[in-house]
Amino acid sequence: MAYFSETSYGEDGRWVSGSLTASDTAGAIFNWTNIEEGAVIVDEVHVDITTKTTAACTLDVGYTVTSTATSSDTLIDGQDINAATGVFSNTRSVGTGNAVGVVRVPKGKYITASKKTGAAAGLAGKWYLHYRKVRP
Amino acid sequence: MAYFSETGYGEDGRWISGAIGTTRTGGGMFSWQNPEEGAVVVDKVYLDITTAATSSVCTFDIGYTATSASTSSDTIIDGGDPSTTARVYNHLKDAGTNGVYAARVAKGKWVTASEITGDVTGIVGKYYLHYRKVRP
Repeated sequence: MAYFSETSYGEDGRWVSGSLTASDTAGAIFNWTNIEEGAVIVDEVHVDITTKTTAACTLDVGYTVTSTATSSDTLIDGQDINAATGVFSNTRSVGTGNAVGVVRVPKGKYITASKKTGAAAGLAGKWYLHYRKVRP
Repeated sequence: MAYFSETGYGEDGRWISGAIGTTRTGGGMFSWQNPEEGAVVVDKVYLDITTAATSSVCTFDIGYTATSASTSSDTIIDGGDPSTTARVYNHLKDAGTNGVYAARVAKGKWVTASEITGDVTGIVGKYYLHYRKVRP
């Protein structure tokens, strides 16, 4: 995959994705570890919810240095995932609570998605995360 | 490099980047001049600040200007505040009052990043700017 570069064309980063898990444990809805050899910048996260939670529930997504089982809200903070299905993204969440839009993730660190309030039972869908490598 | 197109895939524009400066005059954090043969739309700007400013007071602006490489502008980021927190400042979270998320930059004109209040001394990091050409 290409780095951000001083002068370059066509460096469109990498998408990773997976299924959402209906769990109330921190980091269990999904988590991702930066497997690159250096830091990356995560600039897009989309959570495509095709089945909403059975009961009231809000979602956090964000960067953490701690573990895959640590919640964070720096990308999506408190999104209601019980009111409706839909695609919820970091760009829509900017300015809400602690969401800052774009985050730097060092090698081996994490993006996690966690239940913030309520219960995640019934949740189904996919997540999509896009990043670019930072040249050392 | 590809143009914006009515129907097209894989047109991912161009990234440029460089070190963030700490010069305290207009355009002193960085300035970029559109080198293409026509106008472009700048649609993403990230400042990956890994060391915050030394001063407890510091804000910066980033934006388009038709005047010069040393003219400040706030049409993309208005009043970003890296005085206490090292993070990825971006056009989404830090648009402020006058930032409008994207900017059209005519051939030969500029995007500049400038100290606005306080003192940018001590900041360390890189900037990343993404643009696409506008079909004439």
